[in-house]
Amino acid sequence: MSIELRRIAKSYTGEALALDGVSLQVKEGEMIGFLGPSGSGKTTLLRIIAGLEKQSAGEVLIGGKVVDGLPPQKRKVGVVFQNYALFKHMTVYENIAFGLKVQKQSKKHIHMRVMELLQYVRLEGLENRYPQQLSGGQAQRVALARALAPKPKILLLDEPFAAIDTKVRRELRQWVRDVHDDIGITSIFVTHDQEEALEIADRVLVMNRGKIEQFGTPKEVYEAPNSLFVANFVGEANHIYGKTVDHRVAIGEISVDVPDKPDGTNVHVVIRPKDIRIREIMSDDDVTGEIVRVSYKGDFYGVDIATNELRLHVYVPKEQDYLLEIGRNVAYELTDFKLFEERPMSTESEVNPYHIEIRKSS
Amino acid sequence: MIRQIRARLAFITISGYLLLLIVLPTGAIFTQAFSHGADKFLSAITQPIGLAALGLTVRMALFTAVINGITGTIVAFVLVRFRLPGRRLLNAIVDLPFAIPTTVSGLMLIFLYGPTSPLGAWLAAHGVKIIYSPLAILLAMVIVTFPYTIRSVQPLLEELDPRMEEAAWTLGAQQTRVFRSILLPVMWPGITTGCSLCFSRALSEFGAVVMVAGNIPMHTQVSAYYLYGLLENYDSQGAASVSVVLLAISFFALLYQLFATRRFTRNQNKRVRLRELELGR
Repeated sequence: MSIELRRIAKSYTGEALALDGVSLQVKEGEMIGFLGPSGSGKTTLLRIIAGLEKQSAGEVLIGGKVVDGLPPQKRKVGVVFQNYALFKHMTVYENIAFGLKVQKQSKKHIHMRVMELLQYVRLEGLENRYPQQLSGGQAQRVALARALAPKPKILLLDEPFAAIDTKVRRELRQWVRDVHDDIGITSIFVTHDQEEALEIADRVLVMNRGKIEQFGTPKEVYEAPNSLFVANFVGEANHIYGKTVDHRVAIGEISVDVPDKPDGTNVHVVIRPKDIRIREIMSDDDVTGEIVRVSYKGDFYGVDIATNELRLHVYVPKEQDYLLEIGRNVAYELTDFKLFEERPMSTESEVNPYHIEIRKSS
Repeated sequence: MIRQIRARLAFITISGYLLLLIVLPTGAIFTQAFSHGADKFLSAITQPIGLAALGLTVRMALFTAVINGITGTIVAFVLVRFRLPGRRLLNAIVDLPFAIPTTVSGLMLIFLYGPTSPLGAWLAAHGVKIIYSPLAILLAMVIVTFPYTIRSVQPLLEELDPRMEEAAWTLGAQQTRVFRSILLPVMWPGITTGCSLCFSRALSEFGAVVMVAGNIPMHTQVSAYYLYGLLENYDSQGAASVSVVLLAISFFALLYQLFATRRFTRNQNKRVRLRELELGR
């Protein structure tokens, strides 16, 4: 079912606004990732959708209907909690059956549904285990099966992979995405791990201090961050601070045009490591730097280049490994960057869609 | 070598201490009780006055366990769940019955409910007599054992993840259902432990009860006072016999509680062990 939030605000007495006018629309069948640092309000937003917390202002619509008057019991929302919150004193079977028992379904029907789900989450044979006897990944799957048992219209997951080992986490999140596609449910998950959000979400909601910074596809959020915060929070980046002089700003020895900024504007340049290319030095006009660190990352190398004034982190494809020698000088060029105006006293920043023009500073 | 000697020394000291403090006195009671043979023992414990006292004591102790089982659970719940102002003070007050000498607790009851107090007079005018009635015994026992259930339920509730309840809500469970299926099972071991402690302690209560009961034979006399009376009359064999019965009841209550908690923890341990096996594989 679709979800719509209209100007949701949440304030706790004596504190800054936990949520400040959040509006968004989620289409049926989408998987959305709420991404942000702790305290950004992402979990509060999820809890408001579930009905576990009441917003101070604004409306929540599920399937086009306002649900503000409905308690969590009536919202038909399945929730997977952080650390799973499995019923400790119940077996896996009883945990999954709980929602069905509450609905007073027949024993036979409950049994069939639980068995079906056990098979679905690949936990057959573990139905008589207690939660303490399960590994993190297994517990997570039980929590998911329990939430799905009453056939909710919406699935909400609060930091679902936070307590799981890295390797299992990767597998598990792909599997959760498969489950989402398979059931055709609308899902929202909360995470502070940008990699997780970018990998499995259809769209990512980046939050900061109770406000939406950006809501877009992973590609948009990564490649076209519309604020300095998003550029910082999503993905690795090089940061360069400078002042405009003569409508230009210097990035080390490279200088770029900033036509519509008055001189003396403080700017913050963000360059993704993938947007810097290195090659062999071919002419005296090349901008160069010295390789000072190389780390192997599997499919590519993470390389640090030191120039006269700055140090840049660059992703270098495997094919170029013949260049990677500590102490060697290489030429580098920028293929893309983002420029934000620095506003001291404010967290807001402006989008500046500049075209790239690279020229060696004279 | 030295360590071994030291360990042995520590063991001997502790055993000796326990022997002196618990085992020997208990043994002395038994010796005394059976000093004139089993017949004398039986006749001592089947005296009508003694039996009435025992019946009253056990009945009141059971009531106490039930009352404090229920109210203690509620108080524990309120203390843990409601962030009331003055919660800390309330939490400290809970332990007062342990701190106040029990005879003083009894005295307080007399001053509050006695026929000379305004409250006691008012109650008497409405046909309710508290002091020198079984009701007074019950009140005294309830006060003295008040903290037990609270203190055994509290940690379990504090440990309970509130998200477990929230999960139940999102699965459609109303609050009564959540209480029955989630909260009660979690609190249960604490409630049973609290009840059995209340029972044992109420069974043996002397000071507070003696002050308020009036100690009328066949009516408001409890076993502890009955055996005290026997001793006063130089019937040490009779007193010892009644003691043995009280001891046995207390012992069985304790045993039951140990058994109940052991069964609970053993289940927990079994789960943990199984998990270790699983991980090991």
